[in-house]
Amino acid sequence: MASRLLKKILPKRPPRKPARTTGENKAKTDENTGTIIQKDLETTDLSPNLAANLDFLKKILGKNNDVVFRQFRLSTTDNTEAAIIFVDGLADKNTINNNILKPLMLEYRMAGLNQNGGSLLDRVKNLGATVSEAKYVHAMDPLVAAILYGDVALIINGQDTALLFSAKGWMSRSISEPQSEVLVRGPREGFTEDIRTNTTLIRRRLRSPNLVFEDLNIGRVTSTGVLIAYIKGIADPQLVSEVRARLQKIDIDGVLESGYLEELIEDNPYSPFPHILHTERPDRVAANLLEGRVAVITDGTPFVLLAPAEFIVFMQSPEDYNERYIIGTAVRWLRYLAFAISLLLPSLYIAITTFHQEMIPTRLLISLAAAREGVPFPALVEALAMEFTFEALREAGIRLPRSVGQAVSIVGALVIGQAAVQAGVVSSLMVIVVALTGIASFVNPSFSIALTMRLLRFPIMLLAGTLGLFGVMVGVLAILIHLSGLRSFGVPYLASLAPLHISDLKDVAIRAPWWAMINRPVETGKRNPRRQSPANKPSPPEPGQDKGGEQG
Amino acid sequence: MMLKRLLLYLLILGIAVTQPACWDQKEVERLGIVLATGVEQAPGGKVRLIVQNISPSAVGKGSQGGGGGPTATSKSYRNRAAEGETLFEANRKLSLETPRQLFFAHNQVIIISEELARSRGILEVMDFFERNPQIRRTTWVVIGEGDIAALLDEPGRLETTPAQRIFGIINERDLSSQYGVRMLGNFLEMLEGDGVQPFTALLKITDNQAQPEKHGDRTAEGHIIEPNDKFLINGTAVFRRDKMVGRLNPKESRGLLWVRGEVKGGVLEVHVPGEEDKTVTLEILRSKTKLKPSISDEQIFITVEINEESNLVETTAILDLTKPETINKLEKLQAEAIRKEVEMALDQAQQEYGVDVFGFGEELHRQYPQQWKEMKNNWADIFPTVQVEVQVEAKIRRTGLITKPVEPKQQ
Repeated sequence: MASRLLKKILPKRPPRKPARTTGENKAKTDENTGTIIQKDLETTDLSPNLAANLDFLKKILGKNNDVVFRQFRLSTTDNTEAAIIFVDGLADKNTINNNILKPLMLEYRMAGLNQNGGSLLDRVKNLGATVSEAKYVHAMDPLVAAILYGDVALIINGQDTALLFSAKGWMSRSISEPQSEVLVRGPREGFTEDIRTNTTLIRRRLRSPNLVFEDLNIGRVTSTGVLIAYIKGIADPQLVSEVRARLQKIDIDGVLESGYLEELIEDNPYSPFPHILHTERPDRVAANLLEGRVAVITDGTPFVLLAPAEFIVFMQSPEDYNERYIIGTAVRWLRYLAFAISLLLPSLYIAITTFHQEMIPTRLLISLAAAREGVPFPALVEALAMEFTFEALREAGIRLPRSVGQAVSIVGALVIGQAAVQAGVVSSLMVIVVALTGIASFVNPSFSIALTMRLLRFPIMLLAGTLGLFGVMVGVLAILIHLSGLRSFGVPYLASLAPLHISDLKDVAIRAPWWAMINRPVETGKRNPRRQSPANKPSPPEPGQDKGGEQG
Repeated sequence: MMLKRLLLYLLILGIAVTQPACWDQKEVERLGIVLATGVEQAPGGKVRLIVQNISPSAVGKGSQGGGGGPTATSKSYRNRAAEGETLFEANRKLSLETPRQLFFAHNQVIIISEELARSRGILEVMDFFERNPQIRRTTWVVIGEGDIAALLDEPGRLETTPAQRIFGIINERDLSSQYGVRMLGNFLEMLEGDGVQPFTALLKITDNQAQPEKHGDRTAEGHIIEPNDKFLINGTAVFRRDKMVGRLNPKESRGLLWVRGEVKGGVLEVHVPGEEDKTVTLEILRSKTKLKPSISDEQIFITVEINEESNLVETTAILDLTKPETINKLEKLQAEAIRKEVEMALDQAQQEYGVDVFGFGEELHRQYPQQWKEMKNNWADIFPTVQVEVQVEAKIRRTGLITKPVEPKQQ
């Protein structure tokens, strides 16, 4: 209901400036339908007559039962009529009661401010209401927009300007541990759906005046708040303006999740590979901003976009940088291996067992042949069926209510594991292969690239089943060719590897200790390459110079 | 238009992927895995091909059921034989009785009967094995004495098939170094090279001494009556070109391996002077050999330099091993023992068979390419006249956990 109405009243603003009228004489139009034409909203200003203004606003907002029109009298000597308008639930009732209504209705008189000079509105703003943010609005259009964003509008009879008090105070989820990126060691805070909370979380980590949040509104109907965040002096200004330009080009009715924006601003819309990183973790955003990347924060979702994102970024987990670097390096290689397994293992199994049996060690071949004895399907069909079952189970497990999800996984484990093997429908080795592939795909820290692997596995399996290892190679090469052509905001997707930046391998081939990561990544940190002083490597104090520092 | 083109591409891709492909696709369970191949002579100038065809389910079920090992009821392999003018013909004849196409890529061992190797020669056999893309060049080639079918049905219990047993035995060859054995690839190289003659191990079946003589009928107690056979690798067969001309006994075989630098282990026994009935046993650790040919006045000299190290592992002689002199003495004796083995092998090869299994010709070719060109064609005549000098440098590294032999205290 509400959205249909909003669609009518809030389309894209035309650039021209039509002649403006006041609510008094325009409120009568289209009385038979009871709606106000959009044009009127854009061209109408407030009138000095409170009744006319309320009339106009009620025409626009009146049908919504969550919009509250509270009329009252100011405690001036002549008891001027006034009204506040706000959306129930968006604006904070406490603030309204204690900081707007109470001072204006009771204490205004006690303060003895009636006789002071200046306009009534100024006095209300400066001496009456005790709200931190207040501003004047003259036109109906921004007034309505502000009310719908949780502000409280105060209209006083005889004034053709309204006061907007910021009293945003809606219910929102509290900060909790991010669900999709769980760390053992690292901050436990995750973004929430509220954009203000999210900017707070980032700002708290980057206490620098150079951290910039640029404001944008995207969505003709939703008018979603979108922020571009970057660090001045580190992020490449060209990159920032490119992100800004791409976002500004968007003309869409609504943006409900950052995924919408991701698809609208990415470089290659046909690629199965994600080339914008999304994260729920403020520490990850902060770290990436420090590397010269740009974040796009969308209101209403805990997922923040980070661009540019190269392939290797998806292989990195924030935990790598919190744990000791030796372990970080090992885990990173484990991840690369798991990545290869999750993409290729079923294909290699199919290719080798159906085309290249000479490559299997003799004993393995014998037990393989024994396991497959009596299996009615060729390896390809067997693998496809098992992979399908596994993917279906996984999907069912995610979507179902948590309690039912567990039942599904138990049934699944029994069905695709034990029972299928005992019934002789699939071979036990295939179950191992599928299980290993599944586990490997969970190892990936980035869910979006794990999804890509899940998808690409199937065409490669088909190639393996028809062309053998040659087919697998064809598939892998096709993927590599595609990857090397991809770009993310102008940065080659395979950057650090192709084009090769040897100094960047410190964060690709290994996770170098912090004292050795002297420079920022080449591609994103061009602007300000030096990250730290090169003398950060800790070492024991030199003998004979004990406590020299303390004395000095 | 766009859609049409996309469909066309998909169709082309689909055809390209599915139509030419799959020609060599074969599911694992459709393979008749061959683990050993035997070749022997058949009547009428034919050859007989015997293959050891494994039955995977018999192997797999054994391990799956937890019983472990093949039982008497289900043998894990089946030997099949067919005769033909050529091996390939025999191979295809096997398809008349084999439900699955034979798959040779995992063939572990090729056994050629001694009879065939001596009289008919192995050229045609080698042609088949060299031409067939499935056969690996790392397959072991051995010469089988007597009945090949019996060899391929040896009843040992470790490993599931006789083929794997032979393979296992050959893999442990460095524990004895008493026979020379070649892989198919090396064998072919030696066969085709002109400064060396091929050799490989001799395999036969003998009685198993570990079986009690009074075996009796103990089937009631759950014992299974099994043939009283076991493998024995009985020295080395030497070839002149494609025909086997003779054999080297285990000692002579090691002499051959010393010269070729292939001794990586094994046992040496030396007798201490004065205590001739007592034996000191040394285990060879490693050895290195250098061949140094020289030519003067039309006479070819070859110096064989052997560097060897060993551990003392057993002694019945009472020796004071803490004294360096004792060790030095033993080292000298050891060098002498090695020299003897080499000379025995040289004697056999040069005087008895006249075949250069040592590869002296190859070494000459390397050092004296000009002269070799002239000698090459009558190398068989020159080889017996080559003067060989053997120099051995032997070391003893360790003497075990005790320095003095076990000896009862004198009361």
